[in-house]
Amino acid sequence: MPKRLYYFFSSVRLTVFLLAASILLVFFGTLDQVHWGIHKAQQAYFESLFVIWPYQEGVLFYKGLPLLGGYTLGALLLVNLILGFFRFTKLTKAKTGIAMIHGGIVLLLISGFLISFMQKETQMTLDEGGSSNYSSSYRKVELVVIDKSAPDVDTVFSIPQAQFRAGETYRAFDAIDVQLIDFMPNSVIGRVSQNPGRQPVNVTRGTGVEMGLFVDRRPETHALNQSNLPSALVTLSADGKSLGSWLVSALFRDFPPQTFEFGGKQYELALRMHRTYYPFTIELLDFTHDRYPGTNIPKNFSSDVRIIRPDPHEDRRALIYMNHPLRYAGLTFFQQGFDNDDTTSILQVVRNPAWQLPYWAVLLVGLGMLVQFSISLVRFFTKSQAKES
Amino acid sequence: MKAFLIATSALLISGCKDQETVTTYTIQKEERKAVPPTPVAGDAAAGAAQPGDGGTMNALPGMVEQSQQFGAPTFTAPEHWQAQPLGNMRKGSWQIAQDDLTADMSVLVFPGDVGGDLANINRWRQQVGLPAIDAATLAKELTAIPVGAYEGQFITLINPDTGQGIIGAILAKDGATWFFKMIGPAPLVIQEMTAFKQFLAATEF
Repeated sequence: MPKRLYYFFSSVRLTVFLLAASILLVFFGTLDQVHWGIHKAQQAYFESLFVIWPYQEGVLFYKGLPLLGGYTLGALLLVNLILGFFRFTKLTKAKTGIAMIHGGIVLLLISGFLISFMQKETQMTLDEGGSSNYSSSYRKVELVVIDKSAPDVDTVFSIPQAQFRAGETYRAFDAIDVQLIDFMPNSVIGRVSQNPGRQPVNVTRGTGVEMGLFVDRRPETHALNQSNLPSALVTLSADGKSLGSWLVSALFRDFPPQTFEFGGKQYELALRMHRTYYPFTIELLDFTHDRYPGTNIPKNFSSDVRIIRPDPHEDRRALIYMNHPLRYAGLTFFQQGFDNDDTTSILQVVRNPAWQLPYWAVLLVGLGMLVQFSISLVRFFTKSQAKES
Repeated sequence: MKAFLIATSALLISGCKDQETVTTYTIQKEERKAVPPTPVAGDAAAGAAQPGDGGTMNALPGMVEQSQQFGAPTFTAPEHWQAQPLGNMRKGSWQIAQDDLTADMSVLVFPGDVGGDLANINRWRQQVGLPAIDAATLAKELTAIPVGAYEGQFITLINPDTGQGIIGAILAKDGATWFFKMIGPAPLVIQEMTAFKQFLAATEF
């Protein structure tokens, strides 16, 4: 590495600059979180290379404040920490603790990157006596065409939201062309009969026609107390023949399924929260919601669940409650909420292969401090004894 | 050099985060359940704007408010029907329990025809795992039944495979549609048939 670059990336001045930039990023990210909500602000400020804090909404670029994003700052801090260590610290036995401390901080930064890339959070909703073998995304949807013709299984053709492109056609089961006409991350749906002046949605089949619905696009919301209603307009065709145009929406989750026939098979069309299926089932045996005596203040929630897995065979019980998640199959099931008069349990399902790294990093830093202090202490006593003698 | 490789990798990986792809996969057969939406405290991103009742009605946004315009009739429920808290749209709610069996009895009202009798009956059929029927078949299955001083349409839906059943009545009155529905294990629901019909007849609007 050229010396100038080495000195630049290892300099303490760069460290101070990056730490100051981090403080600014946290400050402005916190300000924007009021408008954007935690998730959007986290993505924009901390899971990015570069971000612009607008002075106000809708302001042009040159009136915004450009900031280095979390990924850029993290990467530069990582480089600065490693190069700075080798530049300013002679690696000797006496500096073992310092090397461990640096190693722990490096591991912490790396774990932050890994968790950001690899962590996935979904939600599993269970009614008492019910079970589920999948969890659903909080925010992302998928467009699915499901072959329902087989007696024991369903075959699902899934287009995740990340792959949505207006006008694009996707081929399901090598036979059915699914064209996404329009996707609305947020919308409002109602009945034309109760909303005079609204135009019925321009579709030819399905719930949109049967219930006389209209659909209007709405700006996407990121506020904590609001949710989006994703909807889409889709056309289906096969063998050159139209199978109709349809309105699909996350709202239709509780409606009768939208179905069609082709080639002697029955299919279902839906827009739903993106699902992740597992090779096991979680059954909710009992949900308990304890309150402090004489109050309605929650004391404890717990879900008594049964884990059923056919291969390898497993059938056991587990108790999930606050601060006591279930760790199973590389996933962590947290007790997140409840509903329906305490008969429905809501579990947060987190996939985070790197969950142990921050603990090891902090342990390494702690041990490094202990080692370095111990080395200094021993040297102090040794010098003292040498002086006396 | 290693530091640069790490940093460069991190920056590149940031552009490759979690790319989902179009997939086809097979799962165990699923029947669509009318699962009520479950917003999580402190996190509103659990799904769409949702109807207020426990997933038993094809309500659209705004229907909760429209439902609340209607006052509740006077009901004379049998003593063994245990009154339950009313939801946003329920005008009457009871639970019927016998041994280990439990059935749910609800009364709801919505403006308009809410999609019509065929759509509503097929929705009830789907809730007990029965396939949809056409208008001609529906006409044969509906029978007239007194609901207070009015005449409604009564239907019995039993699924021998799942053991679940619905007895229900739909009443169109004054531009609104009233839904009286008992859902639960088929033996219990059938046993409550007489009490259900007496309940309908005693309802005062």
